[in-house]
Amino acid sequence: MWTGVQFTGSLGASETRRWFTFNWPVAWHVVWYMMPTSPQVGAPQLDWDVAVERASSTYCTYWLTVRNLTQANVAFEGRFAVLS
Amino acid sequence: MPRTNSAVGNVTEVTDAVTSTSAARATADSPVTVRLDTGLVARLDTRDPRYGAWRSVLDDLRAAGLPVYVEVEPGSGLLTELLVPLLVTVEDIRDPGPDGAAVEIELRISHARHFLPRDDPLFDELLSLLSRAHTNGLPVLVTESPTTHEIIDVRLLPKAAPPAERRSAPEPPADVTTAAVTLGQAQAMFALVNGQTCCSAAPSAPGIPFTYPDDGCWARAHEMCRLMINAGAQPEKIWIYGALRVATGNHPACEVGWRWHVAPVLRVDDGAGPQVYVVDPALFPGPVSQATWTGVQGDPGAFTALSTADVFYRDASGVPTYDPTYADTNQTLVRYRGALQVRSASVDGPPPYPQCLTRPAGVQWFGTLEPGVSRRWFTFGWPAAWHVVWSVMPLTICAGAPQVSWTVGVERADADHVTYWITVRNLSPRTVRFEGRYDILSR
Repeated sequence: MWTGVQFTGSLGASETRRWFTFNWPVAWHVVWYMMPTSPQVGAPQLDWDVAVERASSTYCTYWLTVRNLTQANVAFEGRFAVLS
Repeated sequence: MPRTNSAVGNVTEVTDAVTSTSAARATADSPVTVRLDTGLVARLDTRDPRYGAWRSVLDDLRAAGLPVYVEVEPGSGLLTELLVPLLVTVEDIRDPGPDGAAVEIELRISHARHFLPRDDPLFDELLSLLSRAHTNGLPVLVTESPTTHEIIDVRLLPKAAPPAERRSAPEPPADVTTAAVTLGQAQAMFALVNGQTCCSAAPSAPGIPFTYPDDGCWARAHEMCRLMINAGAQPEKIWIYGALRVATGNHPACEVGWRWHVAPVLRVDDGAGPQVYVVDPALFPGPVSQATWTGVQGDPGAFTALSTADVFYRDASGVPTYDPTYADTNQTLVRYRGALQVRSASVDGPPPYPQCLTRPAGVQWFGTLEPGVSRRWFTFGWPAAWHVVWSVMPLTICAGAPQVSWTVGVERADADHVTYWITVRNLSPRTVRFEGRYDILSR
């Protein structure tokens, strides 16, 4: 397994936005997760969901929708792990 | 006498009965009207699940000036079948005699194997038409069943109807001094052309229908060469002739039969001298050696020949045909994108076909979701101590937008085991096949 940061982003209060990242080999098993970089104690800051598009026999595109659950700006990293 | 209530002709008009702003558009009271140049006027039921696909195929064929085969329900005038005919000549007729179940018909240009079943009620009439076309060199419009390639309709055309083929004498062997590339460059060329794969359930120009392996390889190869040449490469083509049979996940029968096949090649030199590598996304996920390419085609007695990239079609005797303007290429691609879309809208659904697929490691199940549908699957008996993550990967190719998303629920079934509940949602307006994947992070 190996991990990385694919992108950084920020969301305004209660904002939801979608990112996409393409040319990922379809044979890789990839999981996505977000990590806030703006400290804020007391409540969850982000949630996200993942959707996938099969672009060709060999590559796919991931679509990551991230939601800011707070009333403040949140900066974050879009992280991935390639499991196999 | 063709099949009752069937017609073949060019689409002259496809008209909505009401404006698109009307709330009544998608009702039985507002079918779309289809007119052919034969005078036929038929109706396309917007409630038919095939409506979207058929409408798209009709629009594409009309724009390309290509004919369509339709069957119409008497009385209602509703379209009940829509297929894409082939504009071909008859090269050969192989009749195994009365004991054979079918007569094999060799069509030009087509690399698929076509059959005329002896038990077809129209067998004698269709064979007579095909024989006449063969004897007199007449072009014909041949319509066949979409999966088995059994001929169901034949229409003779005047001899001058098809575009003149640009033939010349047999060409010399391809220039072996073509510049070699590295394997990495060949892989980049493969990615370039494979990235043009059209959406299986909604194919549109300029996509290449790699997931319709039945027929059309010569146009796919010509378009691939065009793309590679534009990117600075110097491809050639490899042709193979024989009784070819190829396993594929993109045909409901899990294999296709060909009389010949063609794909682009690049000369790859990674230090050991130039080797021919074949670029054929219909068969492989990357460039492969010539031996690998010929090896999967099921005929040890098959023979191969190389040609320059500008040869559009090469018959088994080596006589080439050219298409410098890509007019024939584009028309052929329209035809087979249409055939792919018709198949995807049929009961077979879009490729790939799960019955043809082998589950790789880390794949728990194959699933299919209709447009916009969510469905839940469960899988039980997983040790509770294991850390398991679940994901979903579409198998149906359709670039441009997300196709599926998923959520995971879990149930503690007993002290040692859990059941996972995975809900998968089809975000697209088309049927999507997918694989449900798992990874065990620790045990």
